[in-house]
Amino acid sequence: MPLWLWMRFVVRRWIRNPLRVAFLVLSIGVATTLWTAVTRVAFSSVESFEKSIGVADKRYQIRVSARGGRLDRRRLRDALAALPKLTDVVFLAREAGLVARKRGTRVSEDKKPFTIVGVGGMSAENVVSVPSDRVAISESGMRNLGVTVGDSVMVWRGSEARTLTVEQLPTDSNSRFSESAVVSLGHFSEENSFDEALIAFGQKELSNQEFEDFQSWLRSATRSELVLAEPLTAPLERAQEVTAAYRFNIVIVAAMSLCVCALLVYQATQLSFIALSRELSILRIVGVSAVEIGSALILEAAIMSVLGALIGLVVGYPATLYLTKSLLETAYQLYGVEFAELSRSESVLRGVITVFTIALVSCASATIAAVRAVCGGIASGARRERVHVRPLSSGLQYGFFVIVSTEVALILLMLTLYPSVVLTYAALVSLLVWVATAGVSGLVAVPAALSSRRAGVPRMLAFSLLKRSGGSYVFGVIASSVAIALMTSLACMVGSFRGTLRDWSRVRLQGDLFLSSAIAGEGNENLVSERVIGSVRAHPDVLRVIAYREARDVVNSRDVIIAGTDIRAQCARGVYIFMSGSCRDVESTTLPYVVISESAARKCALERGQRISLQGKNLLVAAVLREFSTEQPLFITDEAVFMELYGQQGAKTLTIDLSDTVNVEHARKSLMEALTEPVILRDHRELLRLVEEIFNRTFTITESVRWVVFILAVGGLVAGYIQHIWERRLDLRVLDVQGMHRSEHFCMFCLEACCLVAIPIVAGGGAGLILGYTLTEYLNPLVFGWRLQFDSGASFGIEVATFALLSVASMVGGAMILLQVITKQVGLRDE
Amino acid sequence: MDICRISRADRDEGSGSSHSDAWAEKKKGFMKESKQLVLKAEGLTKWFGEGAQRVAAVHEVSMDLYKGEFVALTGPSGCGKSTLLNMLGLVESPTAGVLCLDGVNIATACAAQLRESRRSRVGYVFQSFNLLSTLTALENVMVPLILTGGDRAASEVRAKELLKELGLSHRLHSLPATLSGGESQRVAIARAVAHHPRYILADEPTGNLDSAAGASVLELLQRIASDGTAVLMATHSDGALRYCSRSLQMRDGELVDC
Repeated sequence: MPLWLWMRFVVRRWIRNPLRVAFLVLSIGVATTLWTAVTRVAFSSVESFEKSIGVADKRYQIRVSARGGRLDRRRLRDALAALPKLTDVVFLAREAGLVARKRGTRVSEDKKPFTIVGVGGMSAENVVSVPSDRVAISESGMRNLGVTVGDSVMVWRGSEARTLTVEQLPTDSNSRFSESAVVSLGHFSEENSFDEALIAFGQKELSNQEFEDFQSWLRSATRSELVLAEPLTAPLERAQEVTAAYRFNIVIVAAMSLCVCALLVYQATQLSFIALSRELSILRIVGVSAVEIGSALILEAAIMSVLGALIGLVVGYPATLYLTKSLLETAYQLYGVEFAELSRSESVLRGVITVFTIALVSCASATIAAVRAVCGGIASGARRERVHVRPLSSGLQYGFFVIVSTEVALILLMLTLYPSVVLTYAALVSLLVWVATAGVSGLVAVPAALSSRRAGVPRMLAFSLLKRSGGSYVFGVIASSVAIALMTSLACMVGSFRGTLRDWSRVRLQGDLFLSSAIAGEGNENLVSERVIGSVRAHPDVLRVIAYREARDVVNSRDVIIAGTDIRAQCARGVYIFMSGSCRDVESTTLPYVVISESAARKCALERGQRISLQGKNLLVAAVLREFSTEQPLFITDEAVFMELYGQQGAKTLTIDLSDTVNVEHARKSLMEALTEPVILRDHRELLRLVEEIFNRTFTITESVRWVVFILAVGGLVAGYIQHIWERRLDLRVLDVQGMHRSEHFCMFCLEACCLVAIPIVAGGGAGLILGYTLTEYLNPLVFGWRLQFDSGASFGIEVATFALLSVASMVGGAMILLQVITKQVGLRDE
Repeated sequence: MDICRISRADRDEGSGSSHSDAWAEKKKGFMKESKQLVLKAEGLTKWFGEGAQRVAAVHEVSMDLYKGEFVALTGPSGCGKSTLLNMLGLVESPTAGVLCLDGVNIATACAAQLRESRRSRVGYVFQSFNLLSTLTALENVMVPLILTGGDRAASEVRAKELLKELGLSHRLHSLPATLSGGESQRVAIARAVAHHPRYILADEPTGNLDSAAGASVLELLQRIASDGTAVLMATHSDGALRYCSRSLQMRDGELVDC
């Protein structure tokens, strides 16, 4: 087709039907926004995370930690002095070894103490150079402390205190911890101890033998205090495993979002080309070849897709920045890791890639639609009546549905018998395929089932339209069904997490008051000293005090947490939810025993009745309990056993039961006044609120993703439906001329919209529930080691909201078009 | 409303009067009234545009349509036939003039009244058939019957009868896309007459058909008219005139021959 003819043909059509162009461009825009958001947020976060934890940094490091959380700086430095390839030793005081506060102010008990990174050893280049009169504090640290650059703050550890001037700690890939401050170690005596040290070597990697030699040498040089020395590559490898799994999930989500985008674009393009059928036939009748027409359509789609992609990018980019920021903030709040800044220059390249990808997808969709549009007989589209009739083959749809349903059932059966990650993902993919086929089958079955010989005109028109024009809605229904399935499964997962953790925390967090160390205990640890425990026990309002102590160890080659508490007392208070065994089993055990978490049972391959060895002592696994405070394996021993194994050390928290007649707030104030050391004393409700706040933060991103999917579902289906109403303007006008009431028109839209919305909601909702159950029941235990109580409650609310919103949006769109048809009196001649 | 009343008064007087020049006219009017006046237009005018752009598509058109008449409306393209048909069909409101349907001026009626009149008293046949593409031939014919409150089963019986009468009993469940032009137009005619309208407006019903199909459609309309439904047909075809009982010619928005 000559360019001038194409220009006139296309451009005039655009000018005369701006709404049609708007539909197509907006559909592509929505698709681009989603794709931009999903891919950029996901990949940026992973990159930032990897950069922050040092996966990208190839320097070879060894993490050294000490029993009891203390590492003697001078002894370690002296031992390391002889090593030639050593570049840095960075001492880390985690969990509030050092505290900074503004001069003249009281240390607020609400302030979370933060990590001090002591710069010392051979070199300071690993972190940052800090002059001796300064303290470099991270931005978040300054924010939390309420100080700014130039302020004077007091930094102390134990009894040693210095007044230093604040400067900004640059956030880079080596600034590993949030709320961190960097000081010169020269301020503190050599005897001052630290929690951990990072030893960095000026070479890429030590061989296994070299590392073994180094570890033995280090153990002997630092005597008994060294508990763990491992190459940082080990945690990095674990982190890489996590990020690789995360990446894999993101790639799947991105691929799915791209597929859904492609479906949306194809649906919009196809409907646009269907409306052109008559013109295309006429062009072919006057001698324009199918190839020329096809090229013109693809060119048109390419222009629109670039326009749509640019619009999507403009909308999507700020949304992406917001989501990324939110994700990183959530990660910071949860894990305390301050992520590296994202490079903005990369986003330009990503933008170009996004536009290119979306344009490519749109052109591919347009090519298929164009081929279908021009492949019929020359006169096939010359009559208007033929344009909207696109029935679906019921036999084919039902047959395909049965095959896919059988496959899904088999995979789910295998998953039940042999749970594995691979089968879980296979179930996920097959369920999404099932959703698509269920949606299309619903499009065939529902109108057939609901049409009645006694129906009025609106019902007759609505169901005959769905029955005979089903082909026009196929891709919209598939896209929406998949989106709703994802949304429902996310809602189920979030609901299950929330429900389980809420129930668990209500059982576990019994007790009137909870006490933990505000800043530093006697030995600079974040622990509650024995003196404080004694004072609390002696208080007249206190009925019972249960101390919780913690240490770290290795069981079956896994880092584990060893806790020490009064298990029998806790059993009597009913704070444990047992999976295997019971309080009676625990109480009747005469041997030294340990109670383990579900995660410990899975990860360390242990079960009730087995024996383990801790520090050379044999302990019986008396019971397995549900534990959601940590995904790390947890072994709870009786307090006396713990003391025997790990020595006398302060408690991490105290649970305080008050006498029945005592007012909690009154007792809290009284206790605060009685205790001389700074402590955090929270009541039951406050702690629950805190826990729920942490849960809510955890699910911020999931909520964001759910909203993105929601927009996808609403945007895709409503745009498709409204576009189809728009193409049926002449039919609406004929009905209006025949005297059909607006209310009857509206009733017709209502039925069509509700039916179109109900199909993906039922199909997607059903599959989403199974998907959510599969992920909760199988993937969670495999990945985290714990099983959640499945809760589908939230998903129904989402589905009802989706149904209402989609229906209302569709009906409003239809009503607006009807109003235009009636008031502007659309011509009754085809031209 | 006055015109409609005068018309009624004249009709009453005409039956008893025996002198004056007006008598002949009144008698002529009486003769027509005896055929039952269905539609009366007096000074119908339709303007489009504003200010200098304002154009009279139809200007001061007066005409009557009687029960059982098959009237042709001819004239060159753009002379205002379709606009006049739209006004007579209550699809467009006239800018000025009076339109009486069964003795009531409905030119100034509200939208709901017009819709009610369209639904029950008017049948339409379009050049391009305008069948609803997702309904079968049978369902298309049933639409006006159900819209006028007909029972679904009774509507189906009536629609089947009509289609059988028009030789389409084998096409009851065919979609419009599979019907030929002549078949489509016959379905459209069946749809137009199904609910027993007072009059049918046909806008170039043979325009898209070959001569044989066109002749068949015209015969059908003639038969409908002879059964008592008034038919007004806009056409370009001279051949169509011989099927009509009278013809009206339009030029530049005005009736020039009545």
